[in-house]
Amino acid sequence: MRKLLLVFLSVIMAVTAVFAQNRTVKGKVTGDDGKPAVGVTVSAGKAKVATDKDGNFTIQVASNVTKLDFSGASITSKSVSLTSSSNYNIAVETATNVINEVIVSSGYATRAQRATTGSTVTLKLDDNLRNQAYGSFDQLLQGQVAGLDLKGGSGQPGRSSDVVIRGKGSISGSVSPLYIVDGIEVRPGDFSTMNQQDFESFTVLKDAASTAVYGSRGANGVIVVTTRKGRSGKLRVSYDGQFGFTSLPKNRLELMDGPTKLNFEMTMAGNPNSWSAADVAGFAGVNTDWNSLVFRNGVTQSHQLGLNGGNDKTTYYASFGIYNEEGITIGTGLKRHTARINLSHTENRVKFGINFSGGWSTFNGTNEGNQSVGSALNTVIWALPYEKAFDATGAYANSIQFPFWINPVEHLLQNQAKGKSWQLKLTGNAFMEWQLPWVKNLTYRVNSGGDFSSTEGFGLIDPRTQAAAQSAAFGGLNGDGSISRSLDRQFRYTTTNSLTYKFNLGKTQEHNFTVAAFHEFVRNEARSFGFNAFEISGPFLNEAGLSAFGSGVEQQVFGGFPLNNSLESYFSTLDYNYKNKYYLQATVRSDNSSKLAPGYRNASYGSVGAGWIVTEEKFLQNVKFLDYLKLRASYGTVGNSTGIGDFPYLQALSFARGYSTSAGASISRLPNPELTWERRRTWGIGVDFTMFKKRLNATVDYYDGLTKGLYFTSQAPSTSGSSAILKNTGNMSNKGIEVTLSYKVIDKKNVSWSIGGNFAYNKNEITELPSDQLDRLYGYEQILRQGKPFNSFNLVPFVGVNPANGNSIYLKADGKTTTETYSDNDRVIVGTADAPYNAGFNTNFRFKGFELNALIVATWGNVVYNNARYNVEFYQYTNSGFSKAGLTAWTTPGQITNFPKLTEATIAETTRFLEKGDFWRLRNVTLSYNLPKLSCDKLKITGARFFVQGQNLFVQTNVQSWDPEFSNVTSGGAGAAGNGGIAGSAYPMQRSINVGINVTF
Amino acid sequence: MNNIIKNLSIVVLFGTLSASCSKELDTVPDTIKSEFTTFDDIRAARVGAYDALQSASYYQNAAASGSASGWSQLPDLMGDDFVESLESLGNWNAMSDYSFTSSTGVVGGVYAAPYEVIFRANKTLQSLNPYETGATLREAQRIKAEMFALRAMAHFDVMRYFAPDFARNSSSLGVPNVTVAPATPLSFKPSRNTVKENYDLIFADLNQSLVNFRLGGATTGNTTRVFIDSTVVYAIRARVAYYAQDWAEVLRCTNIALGLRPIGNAANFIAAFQTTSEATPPSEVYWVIPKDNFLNPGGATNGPSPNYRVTMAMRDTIQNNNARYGTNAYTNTGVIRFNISGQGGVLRTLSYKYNGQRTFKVFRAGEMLLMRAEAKAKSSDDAGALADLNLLRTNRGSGAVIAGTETGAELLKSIAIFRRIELLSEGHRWFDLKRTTRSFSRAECSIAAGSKATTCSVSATAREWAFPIPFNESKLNENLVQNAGW
Repeated sequence: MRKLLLVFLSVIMAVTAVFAQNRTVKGKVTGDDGKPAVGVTVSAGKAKVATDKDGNFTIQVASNVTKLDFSGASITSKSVSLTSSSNYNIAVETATNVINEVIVSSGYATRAQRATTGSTVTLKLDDNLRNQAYGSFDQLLQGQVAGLDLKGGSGQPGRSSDVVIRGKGSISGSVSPLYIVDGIEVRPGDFSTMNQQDFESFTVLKDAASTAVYGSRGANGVIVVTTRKGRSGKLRVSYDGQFGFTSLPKNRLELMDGPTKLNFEMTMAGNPNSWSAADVAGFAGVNTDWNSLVFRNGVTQSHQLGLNGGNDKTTYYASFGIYNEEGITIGTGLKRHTARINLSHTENRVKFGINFSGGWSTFNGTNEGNQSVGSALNTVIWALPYEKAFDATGAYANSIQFPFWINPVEHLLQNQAKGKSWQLKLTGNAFMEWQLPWVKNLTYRVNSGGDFSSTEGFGLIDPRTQAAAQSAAFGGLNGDGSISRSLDRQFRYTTTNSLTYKFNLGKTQEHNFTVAAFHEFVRNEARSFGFNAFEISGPFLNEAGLSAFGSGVEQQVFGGFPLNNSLESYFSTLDYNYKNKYYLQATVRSDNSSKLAPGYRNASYGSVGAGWIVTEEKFLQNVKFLDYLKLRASYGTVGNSTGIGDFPYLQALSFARGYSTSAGASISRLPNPELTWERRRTWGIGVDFTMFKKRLNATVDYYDGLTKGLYFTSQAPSTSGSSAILKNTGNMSNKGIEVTLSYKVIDKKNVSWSIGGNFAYNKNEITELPSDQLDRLYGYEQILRQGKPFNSFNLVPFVGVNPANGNSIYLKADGKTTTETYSDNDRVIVGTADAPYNAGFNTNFRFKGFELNALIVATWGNVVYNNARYNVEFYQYTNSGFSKAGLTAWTTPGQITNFPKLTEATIAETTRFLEKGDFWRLRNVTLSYNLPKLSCDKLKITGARFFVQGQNLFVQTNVQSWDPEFSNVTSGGAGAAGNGGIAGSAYPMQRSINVGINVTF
Repeated sequence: MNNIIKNLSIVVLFGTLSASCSKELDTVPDTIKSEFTTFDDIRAARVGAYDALQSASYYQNAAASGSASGWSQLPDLMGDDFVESLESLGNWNAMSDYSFTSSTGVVGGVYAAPYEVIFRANKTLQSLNPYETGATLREAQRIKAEMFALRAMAHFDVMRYFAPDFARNSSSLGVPNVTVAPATPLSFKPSRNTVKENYDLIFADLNQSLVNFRLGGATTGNTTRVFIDSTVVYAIRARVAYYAQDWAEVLRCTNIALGLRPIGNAANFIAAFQTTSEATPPSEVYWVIPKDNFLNPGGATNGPSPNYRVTMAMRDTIQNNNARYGTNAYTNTGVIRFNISGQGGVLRTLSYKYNGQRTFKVFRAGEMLLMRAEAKAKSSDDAGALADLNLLRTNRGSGAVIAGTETGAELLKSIAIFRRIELLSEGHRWFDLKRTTRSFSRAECSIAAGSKATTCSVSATAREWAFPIPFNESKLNENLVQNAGW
């Protein structure tokens, strides 16, 4: 069999050789680290090619050419004389610390960075990045990519972040980017059951030229994840393990301690709790630090075993991982078990493979991002510091102010810690590439895969807890306890078929083409159901306590609402380059989505990008300081149809049982038979350059994006019922600049030091909306105004306190006169919730085996409405946990202060509670030590690395909260699509110190 | 081997490329219905119109939520029979302390909620036409009757907040009359009608409702009193006429209503507010918004932990009344509890009418009787008025009842006091103040006095007597003229 195949192969090669005018020379280029050197320019006379992602090249050599030249940004140029051999394995010297030419994966195809004309950033997960302990992998991206604005918002284990690329482009649609893992879309939000240790790289596709290939899914940018693949060679076993120790940061919203608070109440606040002298005597000396009871120092541990190897035909990568994070809030945590196998096999013209991973996670969380008295993260702030958490018998003490709020310690440990969610997540894909035998360089590829998740949730209110008693006191249904259970199943599959054809034209094959045609089908299905059941009794705090002992169980079954949508697309790409000097990329895509109104389902998108590697030109050959210079320009359109539900074009009648015993129907949504895609067009220009012997690397981009046919829920006047119609109406613009720089200060063999940074400025503006939708309040104290950014706060400026009477002073709409009377007519725009400026700074210092990495992230230019502070400065809340600032409240005529008298009704709609959102954060510091080769050899291991890492060690901000990134209270729903900028109860973002080891055998 | 792969992949390639996916694109929703296409749908639309009354802005009043609850508890917590207690979470403070503005959520809520009812009623009316024939004719007529009555009441309810005065022929700006479910909802921007025009529409709709009830017959399946029947229509007319001070009309309508469902005894009154009798309310209850797992109409002012407690003055009024006219149902622990120790040792008087109750009583015979008494007194029939008042005293008395003998101004005063007592915590007080004195003061107006209230008096000229047109409504509909002072 083997023999026959070889004969067959050599026949094909002979045939090829007959038709070739020139000699074909092949080979592989490796760097001095032994890894393939990617994107190296190989020249033979006038013919030029670049090495592919495995370092391989094939070039046509004219008969008069005698040598091969190897050059590129990442290597020292080299020449090799040609012999009669047609196969050359060349080792080149990789310039130290220059990152190897990066391979950019669009999710459908890979390209060398130099061939990419759009704006993309590829982030390789090196040991430093991969070992950062985050329950949700998206957190790794903060501060790493210019133009990617990530807000963590919470220290809740496993909570995914809000990610926005190049500004929010939609009002009523989703603004979340598309996540692709090995070519398959995965659902954002499920990341806590995925293991970033399995990831090889992230590629962030930012502009239309690079996302146009995703067409209708690309408007918010794309994050492409490539998982680790096997490499041929003997089995390598690696172990990565770490322990982390987390602790509570300082709350900048300072509250009064027990004695101070008691004194404040009795002397300044008019004894709001009406304590008697005996009460006061009883409280004296009590000083409860609620934080120490509700928060703890958590331990995080993570272990991963990796197996990697193969031969020249088959490679494999397998891993098993465990991640266990104790949240810093008692009773919360995340446990995750993951496994992955990536296999690929190449034989003759066929390559196929499978990537499959499964994860199982158990999550205990607590409510955040609200202002409910039922949330422990609120009551920890609102509890009185002179009351105790436990009574004399050690039982949970009732709050003095029960039932208005409840003991947070009890609620967290007795109810929320027993509520859980369990998630099973399976993601995987199988692919096959086949170089068709009939036409040279024509490849067929099919990639098919799915993203499955099944989440079960369980919630409990123990009838013996204060939470149950609170519900009873307020006429709620949980008085005798309740349980809830839900199950949510989601499945999405994607199948992509493609044909790719590569060919060269011209005398010296200087015109290089790659054309590809794709067909893709995506189907999304989901089901969910659940129930709430009230009244549990007997020994069981689960379903058994309902059926056997309940005294007349009241149940509500809910759910069912399925995801049910499909997307079918045809698209095609063209890559052209001339002499590896001029590059052109073009994409056309046609999409059909079931979500849109019939007749409006189809849309076509396209992009074109051009790149010019100027340093390949003769006139720059003598400019010694310039190593590499590339200019880019692109234009394209992409679309969005996410975040709008499955049948948004239909009028919906909602049927509900509630009134009497029969079902009632009402119109819950009005129809829009013309609903179609939201389109975002972007043009951009960019420059990439390398200077001073590759010491300075830089990328600068300018972009101009415009969303047209904005998804916007137009509100009808109330006299039309509470009607709203999702329309394609209005425009929103996002323009910005992005700069990425890195510089090697010291670059020696034993010592090196590099610094780098990225900066992004995005200007968001609502450029058009229907006139009757403008100037209305939207979300929470925000306004929609043409010419202003989305999420602009609209409040009356608070300018101080009248020393004569302690009243608040407001600025009138004229901007000059002041008043002590609040009026809605004096509202003005006072800033936006979305930060226009984001930056990241990093540095790496290496001395022999030691390496020190640091990352600082910064954000500025936004404002935050501190609703959490409002709740501890509100004039009627002096009877509960109160801000220390209350001590400065106006009491006597002539007193200069910024805190009005405590008897003045606090008005929320003023800038008094607005704070500048600027901050910078030392996000990560890692010190690592790589065991020298000699020691490794002695230990009979391939390598070992020890590290200690600090996360979130320092934050500089004036936002008065746990963290300047916080959980939003929004009326439009949490998440990036929400309005943001309103601080509610927040799960503090913890500080952590991790120690770990990576060993390879 | 190679051939197998080749053949296989050709099948895959062409199989997938040629497979038509267009069927998959024609996804069909299995949880969405788009149109009212059958008479069963119309029946559901009828119930749906009532559903809107369960809104947190209408009758729902979850505890400590700050919901508008415009016709269940807001008129009580903004009045002078209740005061914000020390335990309050302050969610209704902007309303009870009169610091609300046009952008306050409650203001938007009380504007929008009635129009949602009106929209649904209009939509149902517009969809009925094909069924006004044959076997469905009579039921269609009954549905029409209910929808006209709902539309009338919702207009009246929104007018009660936003109109500056209630005179029958007032040319002051009332609220927009909406008699269609607009085909183009976004561009439907009605102006405010005058108060007179509001009354005209309301009375016309109520007349039409009675006409349709005559054609369609009595409401069926209404033992729980959750649907409007002709008695309820007369009750609505009586209340509207009472605001318009059309005493003859009040007399006429209350006579009919009380003729159909007379006042019950003390036990009936107590039973009306017990959870055990929610399923079958006593006869003197005309119309209730029914039990629903989430309807909790007394959250702000009722039960053991309310944000608002009964004032000391009102407590004394009730207890003095008790002493003067004999032990009566108004002091039953099922409807009120006196002197419950609260925070800071404040002895709170707490309304228990809606403690744990999940139905809201919109109309009761007690209100009819008191309106009739007042109408008689205003029509110089003091004897008749006194007879009605004594009838109420008798029917609320649980021991020896002492009949009153008041006349003239004293009689009117007694009727007014009984109105406060009988209808305590049922959504009337602020409207009654607005109808009459338009001013009040609060004695318990500081923490020292056991209350979180800081606004101690409201004058007759205060702009707050007419709510501002909500901020966003002014932007969405530029034809709406703002009330004076806002």
